[in-house]
Amino acid sequence: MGETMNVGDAESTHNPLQRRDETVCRLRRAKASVVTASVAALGAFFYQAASSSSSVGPEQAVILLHEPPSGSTGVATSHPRLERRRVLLRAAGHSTVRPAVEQPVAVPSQAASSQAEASTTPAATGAADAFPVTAAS
Amino acid sequence: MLTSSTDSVPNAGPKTAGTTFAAFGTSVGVWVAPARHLARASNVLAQWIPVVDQACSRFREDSDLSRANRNAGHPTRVSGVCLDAVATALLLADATDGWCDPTIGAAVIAAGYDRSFTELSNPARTQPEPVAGRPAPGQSDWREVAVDRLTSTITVPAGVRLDLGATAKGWAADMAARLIHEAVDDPHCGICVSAGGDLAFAGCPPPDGWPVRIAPHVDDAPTSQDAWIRMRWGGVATSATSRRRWTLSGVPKHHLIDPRTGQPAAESWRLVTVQAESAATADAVATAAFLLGEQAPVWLGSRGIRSRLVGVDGTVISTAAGLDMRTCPC
Repeated sequence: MGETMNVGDAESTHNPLQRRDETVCRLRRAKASVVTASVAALGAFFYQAASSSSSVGPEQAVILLHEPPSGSTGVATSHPRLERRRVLLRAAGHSTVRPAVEQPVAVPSQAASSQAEASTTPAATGAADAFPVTAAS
Repeated sequence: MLTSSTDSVPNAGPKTAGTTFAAFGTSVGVWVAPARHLARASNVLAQWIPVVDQACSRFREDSDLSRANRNAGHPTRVSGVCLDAVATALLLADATDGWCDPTIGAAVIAAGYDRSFTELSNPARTQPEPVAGRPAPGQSDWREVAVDRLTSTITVPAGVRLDLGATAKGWAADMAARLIHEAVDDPHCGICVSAGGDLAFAGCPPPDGWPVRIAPHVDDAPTSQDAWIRMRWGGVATSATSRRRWTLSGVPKHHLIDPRTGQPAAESWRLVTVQAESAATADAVATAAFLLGEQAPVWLGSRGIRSRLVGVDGTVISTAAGLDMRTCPC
């Protein structure tokens, strides 16, 4: 198992998406494979995942970004977004590991009405600026 | 066929790539890091754009929004995309104390902005036909707009027309960034989506953040005078009136309507740039700040909103911690 790290200052923000992104980024930079954090601190995103599995306690979870190391314990969440990213929640005392399930990506136009299908998909105009620009349109 | 550039962003870590589309009467684009995810990201964005246009455009007779406006006073069944966009606009109207008001549609039309700006080939316009039943300025109330998710309907109050121009592009960018993030299925991938200069970020940004240029208009070429900021998450938007201007019966007009008067707002600022948790929020707050005029710095600062305002005389004011300024990465 890789290094375990606490989310720490990522908990200071109230934005769940920022917390999620910061967590992933800290993990990437530290080259760690495990992040520990309270589910509540990670906000709605992870809490929703945890609450979808009755066997994961809300107080503490270990979030693995990829397949868990051999022999480790874990509980796979049924949250589809997490499953797509092969993120597993692991809680102490549980030993069942279920492989994450790859699911097809839901592109919104697939769920939209036939009106949308009749619309013309725009073609890229090509070269973008090297950098994004914030401006009035 | 999609074409793209794969420009490298100095000091931005993994190689980035971006591509743009002509959409929403402006430019829409996506940048990803690493570059290998560009094709997937472009495809998702290309599919998302017409869905938003079909739902939210007030320049398409067949859009959900146009149908709801024509059916004002009665519930209109609309797509989930339109429901979400309108619900977001109403939330942001509340969050901005009503300054970013989606019920100004009739006033926008009365000011002469009654077709997409690209179709306003003659900037000197004459008075358009009045909107039947148009309420007096300041009399329309966004709180009277009903969004019913159970029946998937929107009820626009009689005589009112919705205009999502101050929020829909930002909201579309937010949604696109999240959809692309899910589609590329790479937690290391950073995504930046632009909808007419409203920027949404998702995923893991480059180590030094995304370099973002602040410009009056999204199509303006870079200049040595441009300010640069660093973005990592959330959204950023800029309001300005240097473009989308026209004259109506000889009177200069622009697109930022003061909901109290129903007229284009007085111009205290050349540029208002706001950073927020999402592009939609940044878009709405930037609009509100522009309309607030000289009260904007206090209004923004008291709410802890990070912003940068450039006055018409060039004076620069920052609120809260200000934006994360950086030098040009060129």
